[in-house]
Amino acid sequence: MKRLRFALVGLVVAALGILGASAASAATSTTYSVQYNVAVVVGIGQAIGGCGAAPCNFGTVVPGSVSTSNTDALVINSNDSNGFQVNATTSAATFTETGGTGCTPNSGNTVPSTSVQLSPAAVSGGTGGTNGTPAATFGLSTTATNFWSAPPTTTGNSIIENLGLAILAPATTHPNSASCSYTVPMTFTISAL
Amino acid sequence: MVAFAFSLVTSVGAASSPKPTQGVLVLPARFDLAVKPGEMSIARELVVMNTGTAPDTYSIQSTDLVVSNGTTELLPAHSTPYAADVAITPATLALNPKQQGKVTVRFDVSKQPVFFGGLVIASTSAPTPQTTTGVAVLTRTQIVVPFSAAPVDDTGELLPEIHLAIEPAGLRLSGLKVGPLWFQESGPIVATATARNDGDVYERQLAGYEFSAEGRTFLKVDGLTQSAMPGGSASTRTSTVQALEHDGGLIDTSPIFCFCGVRAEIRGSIAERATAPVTESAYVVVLPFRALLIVLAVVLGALWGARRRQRR
Repeated sequence: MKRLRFALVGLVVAALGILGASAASAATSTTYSVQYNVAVVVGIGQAIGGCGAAPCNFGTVVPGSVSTSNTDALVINSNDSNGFQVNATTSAATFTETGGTGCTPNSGNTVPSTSVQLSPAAVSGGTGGTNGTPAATFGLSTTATNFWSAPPTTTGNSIIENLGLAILAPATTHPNSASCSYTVPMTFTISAL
Repeated sequence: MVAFAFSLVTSVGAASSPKPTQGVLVLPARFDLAVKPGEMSIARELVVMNTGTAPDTYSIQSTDLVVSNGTTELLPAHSTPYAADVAITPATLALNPKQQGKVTVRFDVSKQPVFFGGLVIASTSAPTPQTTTGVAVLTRTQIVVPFSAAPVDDTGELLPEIHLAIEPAGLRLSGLKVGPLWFQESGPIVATATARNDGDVYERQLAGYEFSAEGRTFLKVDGLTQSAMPGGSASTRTSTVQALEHDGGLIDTSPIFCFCGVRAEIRGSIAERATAPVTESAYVVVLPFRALLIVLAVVLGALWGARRRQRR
């Protein structure tokens, strides 16, 4: 009987303790509700000039042969499960050699934009969705060309596209004049679908 | 044979230390506007963030767009009949790494309430190629934020003069088509649905797919969103192998034996309004043809062997 009384007292004390703690908590806390909208985000970045942390190095370019390949790592940001697409384009079909001091460009020394070969890959580093079906290797042109025949739908802020870049200069490409070089600019454009 | 050394596209001396990165992020990634009666202009905010490691200045410009077979082509502003009048303030933003800025984009809808175009967000700084003999590439990145608009009435419905329409243009499955049926080896069924924009305005096409076996649905999945110009077509593709949203794990619902049906439902959409869905259906017989051929070859071989023994 005595033990039962102790047990009951213990239970009552515990219950009062829980009630008190709840009351104290209620008195010192406030309930907040947070409302926000999440917009569709898209982003793209790379090492300045391209080809990742190290500069592009295609080795010795032999006209008529594919050069050493470089990997240009693009960092993509997307929260849109509808997917995104990146395309590549350039400003002209041919480029004449250029250069700084000591370069006297010869207008006959040109390379076609298609001498830059791009090999897209499936992306990596995203969450969920698909990583895209890469397009076959293509030559850079003034017409935008998509990286993926089936665009990626994965999401994340560090989605990596390792784009392969190589030079396939035509066999008839003229050697440069002294201190001149062929520079082919290209633009990668990303858009949400 | 002429050989020439390939030059670098970065500043001299950068070879020894990692190059800084250049990056930009924008939100939202598209604008789909419904022009209400009496509206003269619509203002929207665009957030631009420098995600690179160096300070950068970005230009924000309006451009015309065309979409052809899923590829977005940029055209000079005001070069298409559905070009928009857009005012962007400020038109450039100088941002430090991780810093973000806001741009107000004001669409003039007083004269042209139906339009389609894009905002191009690009860095204004560019590396200088090194001037040594060779071939160099100079890569730059940019973002296009597509925008579209169409007029609606007070209830939000498209005005009658806006002809938003979509027509089915074929459902292709993986495998071989013989007559009305497709045949394929056991494994993922890949479906590609194509629809034509039969209206007179740009539209986004929203697709949904349903895979069934013997009349019982075993997979329902959304397809990619694609865009199509008036008279143009767009295709979306999906398969019975799907990645999970939360962890990227794969769910493979591909059948081994099946008389499967695939149904695609596609809607055209603009100004937050969509057409009634058009549906496309196809049927595929899925069998382990290779395994069956091996079994058949073994059976025929055994029969041939038995017959030879009988003759002796």
